[in-house]
Amino acid sequence: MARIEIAGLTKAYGGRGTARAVDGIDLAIADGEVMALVGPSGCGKTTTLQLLAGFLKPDAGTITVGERVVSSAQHVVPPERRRMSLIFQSYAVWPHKTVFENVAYGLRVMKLSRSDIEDRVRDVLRSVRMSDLAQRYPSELSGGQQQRIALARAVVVEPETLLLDEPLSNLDANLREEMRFEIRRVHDTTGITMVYVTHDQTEAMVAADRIALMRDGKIAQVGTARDIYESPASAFVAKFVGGTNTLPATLVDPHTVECCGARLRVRDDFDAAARGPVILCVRPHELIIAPESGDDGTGYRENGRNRIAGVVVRQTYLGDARDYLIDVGGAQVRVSTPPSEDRGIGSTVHLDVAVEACRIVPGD
Amino acid sequence: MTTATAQRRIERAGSFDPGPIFFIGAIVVLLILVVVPLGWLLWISVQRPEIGGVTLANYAEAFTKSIYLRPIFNSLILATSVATLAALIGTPLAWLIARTDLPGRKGLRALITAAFVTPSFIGAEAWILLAAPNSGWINRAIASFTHADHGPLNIFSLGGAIFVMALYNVPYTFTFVAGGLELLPVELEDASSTLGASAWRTMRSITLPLVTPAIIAGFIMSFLEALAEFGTPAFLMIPARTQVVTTQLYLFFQFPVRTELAAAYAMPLLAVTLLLLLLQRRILGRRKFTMVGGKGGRRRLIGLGAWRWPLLAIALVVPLCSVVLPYLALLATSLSRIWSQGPVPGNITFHWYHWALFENAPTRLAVFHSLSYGAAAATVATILAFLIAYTANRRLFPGAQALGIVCMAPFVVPGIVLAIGIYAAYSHPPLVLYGTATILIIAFTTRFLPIAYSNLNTMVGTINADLENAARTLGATRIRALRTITAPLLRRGLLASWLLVFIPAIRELSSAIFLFTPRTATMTTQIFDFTDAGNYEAVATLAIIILAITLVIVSVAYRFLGRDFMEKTST
Repeated sequence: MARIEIAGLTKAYGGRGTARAVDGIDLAIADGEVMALVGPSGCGKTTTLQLLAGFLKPDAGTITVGERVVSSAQHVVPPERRRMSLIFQSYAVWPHKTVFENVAYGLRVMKLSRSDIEDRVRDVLRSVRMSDLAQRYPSELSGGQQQRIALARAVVVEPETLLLDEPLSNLDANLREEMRFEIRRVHDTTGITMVYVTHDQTEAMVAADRIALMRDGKIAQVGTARDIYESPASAFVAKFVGGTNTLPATLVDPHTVECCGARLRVRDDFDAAARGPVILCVRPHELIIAPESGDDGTGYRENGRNRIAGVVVRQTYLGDARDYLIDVGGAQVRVSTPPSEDRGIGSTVHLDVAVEACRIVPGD
Repeated sequence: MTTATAQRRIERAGSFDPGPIFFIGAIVVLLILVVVPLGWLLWISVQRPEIGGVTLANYAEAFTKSIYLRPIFNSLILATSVATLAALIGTPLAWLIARTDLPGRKGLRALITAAFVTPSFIGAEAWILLAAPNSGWINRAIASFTHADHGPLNIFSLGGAIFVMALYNVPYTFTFVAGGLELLPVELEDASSTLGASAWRTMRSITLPLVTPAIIAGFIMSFLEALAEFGTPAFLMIPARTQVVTTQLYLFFQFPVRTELAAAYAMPLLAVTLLLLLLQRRILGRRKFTMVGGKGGRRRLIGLGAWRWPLLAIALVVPLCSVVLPYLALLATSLSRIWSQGPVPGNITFHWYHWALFENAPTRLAVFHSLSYGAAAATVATILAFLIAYTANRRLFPGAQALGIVCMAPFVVPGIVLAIGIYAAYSHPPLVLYGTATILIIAFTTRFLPIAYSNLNTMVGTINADLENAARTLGATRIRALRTITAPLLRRGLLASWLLVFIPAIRELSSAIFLFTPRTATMTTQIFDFTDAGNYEAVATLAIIILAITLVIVSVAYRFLGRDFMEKTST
């Protein structure tokens, strides 16, 4: 099995130095780990995967698998010698071969004996519950079945690493759930190292041990789903994972900010030597609309909560929740409330939020 | 991981990847086929053994002497007349078949396709049988009817050549215009009718202007064909001692051979072809723009009413002259012991087929040569076009797309000009190929490489690279992925490309005539020689064999590859 170490990896398109798709990333993936590369489109995650698979040659930096340097600006071990299987967004199941032939392909390349090939193909098809369809052609299969074939074809050769490029994005919601489970099960039974590219943060959270969040060819943050959700390193991370309101604020002391005309207490895990402009992140469901009580005081209150005042700009009934857009003095915040919380447009409301839910990230 | 698997994987990791050799090999072949001959053509055009150094003496001689200027003038008359006639006939024919309720439209279309796949030099041979001044059957029929000494027709003339070549160029304009009319959104015409225009006015002010680019494109295509055609002028105009550029080029190769002068003399042909093809591309490009938004759904056919049958009779004249009469004449001749006696009892025999295919070694060999050279050219062209199309599409290295342009370059080179370049390049050391089968295979491959390339280039582009990449992550080298994944996925395209090269290669005359020797004669060069000798029974027999092979292949390909298969030859 394989530990993968990426160091200073850089790839530019359209000539050296222009438009860096991957811009000097460092990432270590432990043996047997599932690492998700997540980010908006154009962040460089697919390019990183193509570099890992050996389809692209880096302009700088190295990729090391175990003890072996497989990619550098000088030399790239070609894809067929990297012991990495790749699952494609487009499935890439060969339409001119039967299910059996698709899965057997890699074993034939290895020159295994006919009986070995038959045994292994039969086993892997059983494990993805496709035994009955071995003699079918891909055009006779559904998208989910094709993706299972792609998975079987990739794992039957027992690769050291499994790379997955948006494997679920072409499936409908039900199948996505099923395939997510399937992929995780493959990992649990084989202990294979996986690198999983997706733009969907939920998918990453479910599938991966750790998440590397990418933006503009760089890694914005690496950590477990919980690390990233609870302690985002930047407003971008907070927005991308889970979604958040961002409010411009001024740091007064390590646990106090000036924001929306009020003085609020915040989590003090933000390591800021300097005072000055920062960004306050509050997730929509952590804000609650306070009951009307005649008490108009804002700022940090004795009950351990912050309160700010605002005016309802818009609200939408969503069945299981109500989505509010509230103007809090220049900035607008989204608030997700229970559906019963019905306030008219233009009405003044007070928003309460726990100190624990108020995170500070550096200003951009 | 099982140990056996691991072991094998490790063994493979050290193995040598032969992939680059294939691609470098393809590039070398491309150099031999295209770049070297065209380079030599340019180079020798500024050479003169007795002067030495770089000189323009060949150009000066070629374009000042009146005996060399006259053929250029004749070529222009020939090409202009052929293209004009073909457009004047092809356009209304296309309208009748695409837009009206003319009876028998399907049959007419099939006949026009048959004309399309008939080489015009075979048509010329047939028309010699029909309209030679004394012996031609039509002339004899008219003469016996009018009791004159001889009939009024003389196919051995500039007019005769124009007539025959126009017949076989009608399909170009026809195909372009019919295609245009079928894409034309019917709403455009409806809009005119709702504004009160008559059907005639709608056609004149809406339909005709919209298909004008297609008519011009057909005109250019016919013009270029006529300019580059060798066989028909050779058969019909050399007896009349009237030369055109291509026949003059042929005369430069009679003793004493003047290759350098020929190279210089061929340059205008190359330049005009290049310019007109660029012009045609612009016109067709614009046409596409004007068609955007057309639904092209089911359309109403224009009712011809009482005119249906008279118009059908007129429309039938063209296929009658280009297919029915010539095929009958050739067939009758090939089945006659002595053609001038006509297919009457006692004169009918299979003798000439038996003679051509079994008794007579030269013709028997020629049939074999045509088929084997054609098959070799088709195979080389298809493999080469596939490898280059792949290289260019997947951008295997920077500038790989330039290889595609090299593949397409022979498209602007008339066959006869290409033959001169190949002769110049390979008739002296280091590579002496003159007199070998290889030089003919090179000529056929190069000449029809653009057809294979343009066909495969489009098709490789439709194959998602993921399909190959998947094979590579499973341990296959690039070549193995190409062989086991890409090529099988493209099998129909590869077969189509092979046939699209094979069909024109077995009936190629203009480049073969410069490069063959008696040991490498093909069916077409045999036809040329038998025409010289006046043995028209042998000519007709070989012509029928070529036509039969072509028609069988085309109809089989239609069945397996679809109706749009042949249309690729016209682009």
